[in-house]
Amino acid sequence: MWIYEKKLEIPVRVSKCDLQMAKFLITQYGGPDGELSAALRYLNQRYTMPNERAKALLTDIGTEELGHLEVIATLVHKLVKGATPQEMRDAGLGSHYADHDRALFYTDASGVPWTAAYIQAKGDPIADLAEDIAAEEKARATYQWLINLTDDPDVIEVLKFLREREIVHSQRFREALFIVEEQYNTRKYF
Amino acid sequence: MGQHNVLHRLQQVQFALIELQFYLDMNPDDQRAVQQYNCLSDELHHLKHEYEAACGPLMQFGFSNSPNRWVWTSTPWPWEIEY
Repeated sequence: MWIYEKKLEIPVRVSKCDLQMAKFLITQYGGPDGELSAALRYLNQRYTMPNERAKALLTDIGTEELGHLEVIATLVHKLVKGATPQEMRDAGLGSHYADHDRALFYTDASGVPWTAAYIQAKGDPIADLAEDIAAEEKARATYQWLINLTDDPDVIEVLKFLREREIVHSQRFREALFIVEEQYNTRKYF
Repeated sequence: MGQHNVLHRLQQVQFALIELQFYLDMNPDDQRAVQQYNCLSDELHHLKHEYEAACGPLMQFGFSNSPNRWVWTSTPWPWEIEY
């Protein structure tokens, strides 16, 4: 079971309304390397993870990712708040407005809707953990590209925090992979 | 402490606990880390009570007590709070 807590993991502010940035940021909501993908990937892989520590880690990181989903949603919501249809149109969000008004939707930066094909569950602990490490690195890179796209210091502060979290998740998943490889005494030949 | 200060402190302590949780998942035999976890967990509970007394329940389904008047529907949602 999950229990909701009526607060964010970190404070989220924005300095100004910025529709273009909202359009880019939405990819971390519903894009391939976004927080929805991350949460669903980990919380789904845990059922067949044969190692007790890795099972706990997938549950705990998956839970934090749900919190990050809310952080991204809050950023986008605040960046779009009060925008007029004409402003949305000028920012390239006219098609979004036609389908969703100012509602959030799970899409990437180009408006492509989220698909389960973004994530994997192979049932093989090494394949799954290797995917998780790659996913964290891709999310880290995405946060860096997003930081490069804005000059809003408040938005940058939140994105830097999220970028840092991906690094920590990646490191923990690397440890889990090491433990699982030891468990199966897998020899690696390159 | 003001409401925002309590929230900020709550977020700080919870962040430390998230980090410790992942660390302990990978290093369950580290007794010092377990002690640190429990110590911060006590502080978190204390801060939650302080925050909830000022700002209303943090959690639903009975995990937080409600004041006599039901305020879950009237306290601001996280995406509406202006920090």
